[in-house]
Amino acid sequence: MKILFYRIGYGLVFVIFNIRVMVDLLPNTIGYLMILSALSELRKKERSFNLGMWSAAVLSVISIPNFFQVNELNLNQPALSLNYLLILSLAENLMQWVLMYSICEGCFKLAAIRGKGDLASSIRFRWRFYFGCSALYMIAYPFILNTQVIGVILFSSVAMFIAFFMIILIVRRAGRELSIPFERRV
Amino acid sequence: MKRIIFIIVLVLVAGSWGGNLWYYHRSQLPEPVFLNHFIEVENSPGYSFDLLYLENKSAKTKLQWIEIPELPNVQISPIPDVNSYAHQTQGTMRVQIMDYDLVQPEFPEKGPLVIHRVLAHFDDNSSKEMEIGEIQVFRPDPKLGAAPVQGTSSGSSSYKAGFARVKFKKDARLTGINSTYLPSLADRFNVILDTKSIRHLEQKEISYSSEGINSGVPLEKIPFPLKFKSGETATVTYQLALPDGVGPIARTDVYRFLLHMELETDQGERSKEVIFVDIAPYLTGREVADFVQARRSGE
Repeated sequence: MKILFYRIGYGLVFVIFNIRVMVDLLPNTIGYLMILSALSELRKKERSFNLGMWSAAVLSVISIPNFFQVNELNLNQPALSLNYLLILSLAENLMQWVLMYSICEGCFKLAAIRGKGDLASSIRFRWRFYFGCSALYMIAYPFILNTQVIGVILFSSVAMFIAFFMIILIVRRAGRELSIPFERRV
Repeated sequence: MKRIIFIIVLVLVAGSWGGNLWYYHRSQLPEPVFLNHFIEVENSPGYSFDLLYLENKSAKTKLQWIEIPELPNVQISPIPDVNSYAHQTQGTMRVQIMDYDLVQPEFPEKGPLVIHRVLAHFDDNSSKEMEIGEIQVFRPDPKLGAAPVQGTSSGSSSYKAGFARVKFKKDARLTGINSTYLPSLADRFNVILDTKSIRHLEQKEISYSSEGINSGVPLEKIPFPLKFKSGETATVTYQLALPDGVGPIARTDVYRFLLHMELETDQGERSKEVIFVDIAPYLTGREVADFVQARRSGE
């Protein structure tokens, strides 16, 4: 079971890092497929992972164009109109919420069942932090089309990156703690 | 996580994207556009003027250079991105009149050469004619002698005003102050003259900078001709004061013309002293946005 959580963690690393040399060296698609394979196993233990599995499947398809082409607005030269790459980018961001929600919800429930209150509350906090940061980012992001104020966008994107990383760490911790059989309390 | 929070956030995200894309769309100029110019220039080497234009930042094809078919003797230097606004950039085409040995423009029998359009070339190799307002090019008058005055100081400012002070080197008469555009700009362009002999007349004040206020007699009330003795000075101050009801497009007009002080010495020798009027708008983001709205609504 530990290896499945670790696979989710490594999959998220592929999603979060974009090292671009002509193409993305850590393709998001591979990350989503890794998460998909882990969640398809984990859903047997907890139904909350079902939603995540389907969203990972969708994400692995819609992130394919991103492998070849940057589909983000450039902060210095906001241009472009409403094109399909922009729509895909927006859709990917929204689907990521569903995926992260499902992963966190599943981990939270498993932790709660095992009576690991610390782990459960940490998962809940990190999910809320991630959701808040990414909501701020998603709301602030389109303002670069019309204003030259990019401070909020930069701040929220850095915060979102940190939140994402915190979730990777908690998923790994969940893998470690949940793989241990039930502890017997005396 | 309560569902209501999800829904609120989704509504905010959708509103932010929808609103920003809508605002972005309606802040675009339908096409690149030159501001409206009032230009008067002498066809002599060294004279130059700027043509200002606005284009969308996101435009796929950008204005690259222009041609003025009526003026084969000019060199045109494009200066893109002089000012940058939220959705547009303002660029300049600097036009300089070059040497006499180039092919010279063909002037009409009478009056100046009047130009209303230029041929604009874009970076996708397309080209089209664009309105620029009006350029009047006139021939230097060989009958005119050297002016019997010497400029002592001059200035212009962001107050859309300026002045020129001259000192007479010989006894002479000032027979008038003229410009091609003065009649058509009578509602917005004020000129005053200050000199000792007319200080008893009704005065008007023009503040040409944060510190400087010049007073003088309005042009229409000056009893021409005025006699000047050698050593006397005269100060011409001008100001552009747009009427209140003027629209957003007129607020961006560019003025670069000449005020002529027409002089005559006691020997009957006629000459002109030229004062350069150069009032280019320094556009604010608000003014550009209003301009775009006015252009979009086809004003």
